[in-house]
Amino acid sequence: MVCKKIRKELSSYLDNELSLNKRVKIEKHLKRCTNCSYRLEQLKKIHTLTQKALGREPKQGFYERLFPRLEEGEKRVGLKEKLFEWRYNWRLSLSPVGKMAVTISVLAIISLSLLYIWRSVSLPEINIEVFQQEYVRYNGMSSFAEELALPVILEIK
Amino acid sequence: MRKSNIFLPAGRILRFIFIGLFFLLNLMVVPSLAVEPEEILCLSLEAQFQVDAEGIKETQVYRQEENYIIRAKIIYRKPDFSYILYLAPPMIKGRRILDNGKLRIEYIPGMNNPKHSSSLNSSLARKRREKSLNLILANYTISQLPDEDIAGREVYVISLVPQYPGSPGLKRWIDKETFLPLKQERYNSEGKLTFSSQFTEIHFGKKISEEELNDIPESVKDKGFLPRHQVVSDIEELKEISRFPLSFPKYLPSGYSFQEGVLLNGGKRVALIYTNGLETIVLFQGPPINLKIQGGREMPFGTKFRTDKGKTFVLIANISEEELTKIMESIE
Repeated sequence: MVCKKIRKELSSYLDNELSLNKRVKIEKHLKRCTNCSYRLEQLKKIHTLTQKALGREPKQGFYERLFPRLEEGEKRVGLKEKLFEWRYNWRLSLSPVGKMAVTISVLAIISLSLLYIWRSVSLPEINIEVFQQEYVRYNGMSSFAEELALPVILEIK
Repeated sequence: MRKSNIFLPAGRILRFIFIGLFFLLNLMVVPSLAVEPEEILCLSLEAQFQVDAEGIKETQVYRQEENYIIRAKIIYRKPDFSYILYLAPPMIKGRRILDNGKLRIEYIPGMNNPKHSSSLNSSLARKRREKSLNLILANYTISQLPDEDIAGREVYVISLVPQYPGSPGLKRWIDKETFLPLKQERYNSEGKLTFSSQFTEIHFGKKISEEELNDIPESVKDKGFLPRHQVVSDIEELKEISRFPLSFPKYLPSGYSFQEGVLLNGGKRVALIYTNGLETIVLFQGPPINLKIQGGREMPFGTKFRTDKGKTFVLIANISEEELTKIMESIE
């Protein structure tokens, strides 16, 4: 949310149209936010290029019109670019301890998931006939049991 | 001499009176000595341990897909010896079951994998018989049907009709002289015939030679056999010695009660056995397992299983599918 507000003010910041208070706030933010700094760098490049190309100042409101267009373009960024951006942000935004903590957490989650899958897959397998044989054996002890049929009932197909 | 001649007619009359009275008394007493069906049934449970007999027995197994007949030669010798030699069908021909009063050994000559279990005349088996009989007296209407002839012998016909619907039924033809069951028919909960066993020939009093009975290969003889599983009749004791908290079904079909618990594989798994005297419901429980099921064969009993609460339950009984589901769902 803060970044969004700052980005809206960036073109005015470049044009020196902001109050001192706002400028200080933006500069403070730019020091810790790599995304907005990156955005400012882009705007600066565009600014320089347009100045070189046209040799004159852009019309008033040029940046206001440009900014939504840039945002629209950002939405169309492909997966490859997004991954690149993510890697860039990851490199810059987290401290080494934070990175380690995130890595350990992800590894722990993956390990636990694998362990759970392995356990459920590696449960001991028992043939149902083992239980049926026991059942037949208990029945065979009864005096009313079929003394001929029961001992062989599971074997006759 | 003369004197005796005078009293002779009177003596004869007295003799006739005594003989007449004797027959009259017999006519009055004999009916009161008639054996009750419950008593006949009870005597039939122990009869095989009190006869010397040899015969051929056939069991017909009735299935939806196909019926088949199992034929075997059976030898009983007092006090507790029995020997079964399977003659048919071909796939089990030659198999033997020998019970010497201590052990029951199932084996095939030439094969080294005999199965040992407790004798049918062990104290445990006798206790089970006693409990079964008490439950049968409580759960079944026992009646005597008109006498018949089986394998040339006069028999009592005893019928066991369940008092609770959904229970199996039984009919037994019992030899009048020895009380040995010569025929038996078993019906499922729907009253359909499932098994029919009958001696097609039987010879009593025949002494079986020691030689004939000693064809047991050395490899299958008792070599310090220890029962594989621990049997516990007391439910509280079972709860105490079980390695894990046991789950019990809240619902059981009418007439069934707890018979015993069996600790399998050193207590890793427990089997709870319930009976109504004739039929048995067995609930196995233990750590979760993957149950391997081979389909395609019709069994004379139903099987249900589920893995829940860190345990796998396997329920087996010859009762309706509906009852099996109700029991399984009631396990807590």
